[in-house]
Amino acid sequence: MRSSSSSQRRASSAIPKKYSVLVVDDDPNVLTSITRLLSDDVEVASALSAERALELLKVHSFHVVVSDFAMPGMDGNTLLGRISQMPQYVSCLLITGSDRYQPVAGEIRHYVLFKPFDPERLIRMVLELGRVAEMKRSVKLMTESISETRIKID
Amino acid sequence: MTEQSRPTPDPLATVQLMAIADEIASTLRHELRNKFSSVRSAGFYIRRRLRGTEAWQADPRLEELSAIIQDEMGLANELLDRSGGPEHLLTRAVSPVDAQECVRRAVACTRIAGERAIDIAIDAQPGCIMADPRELVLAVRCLLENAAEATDAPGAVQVRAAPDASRYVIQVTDSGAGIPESQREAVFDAFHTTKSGHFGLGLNIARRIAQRYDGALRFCEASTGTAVALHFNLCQTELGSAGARP
Repeated sequence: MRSSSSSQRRASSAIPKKYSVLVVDDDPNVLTSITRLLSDDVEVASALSAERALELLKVHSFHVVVSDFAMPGMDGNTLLGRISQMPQYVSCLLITGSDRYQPVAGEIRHYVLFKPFDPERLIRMVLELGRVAEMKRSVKLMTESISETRIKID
Repeated sequence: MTEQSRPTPDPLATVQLMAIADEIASTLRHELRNKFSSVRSAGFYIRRRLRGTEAWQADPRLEELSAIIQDEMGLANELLDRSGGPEHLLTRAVSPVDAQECVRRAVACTRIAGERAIDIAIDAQPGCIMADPRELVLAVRCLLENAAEATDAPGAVQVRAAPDASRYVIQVTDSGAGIPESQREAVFDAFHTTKSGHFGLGLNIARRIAQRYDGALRFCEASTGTAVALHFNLCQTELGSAGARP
């Protein structure tokens, strides 16, 4: 029974992870804890600043970016705002424990989770946001494909 | 000490003390929430990894202690949320406020450290804002004192306040060395200061007050020095003789 359970875990950890997630936080301990927490369910990369996150986004495609709000330099709101303007859709989740956080006026661009969050909830949200990113990308590809077909027909 | 040499009491002493306490409490809450997050996530991961293993089943204390970590973190956070800030110590009197008068008052009670030769030039137009007048005066004074600190004596600080479409904008400009673009966000960090003997909270306090009344504090373009501006929504109420003044 026990050996079966541990072999199941080994087997499940060998399954390729479907979603790629970038975690951004200036606090190394918070960054490590979130990264480790997600590492069983998704591929995780990490960045200690918004500026570093933007560099990683240039060379790697992520389904989800999980970012802290209050960071030295560029804050999480600005980072996620920049990401939302990128050509490829990336789901954005802002995590904050700051009293100062205020939602961005106008169009809601990302989800928000307040610290200290329920770890299970974070995993569920990240997986759901990964699915959303994959779905939106597929729809975009299909739309572009249909547009190309129409142009050829015309 | 004679009656004449006694320093004039600061009319904003109480509201400033509360604003500083508010900033410190807010910073502490933020830091503690970060720590709680790390501990809670780490505890969850260890529990998830160990559950079902021989070690977990052989030693019931592991589950017991793991549950204690989760429960205590939850309770500590509840305590933190319930503690709130020192807001209950300051009863706010929010009403339509004569912004022009508040700006004048802020200039009048600005304290220039070391009595340096810094002039404050004022150009304030009428306008009405919904706020507690003491907090509005304090926000403007924080900007003026910050600007005066950045200016070499003899020098000048300019404050211009006027309606702009639906907003009332109070802009303070110094003639100092300016702040590089890359460091502009950092000056809003609590306790960020390059001057000894300062808390580094002036801009934080001004921004927090602006945000409390649906306003904002932003950098502006300036040919020399640094310019920052408080933006508030103009209030539609006509200011009569009963309009709140600081």
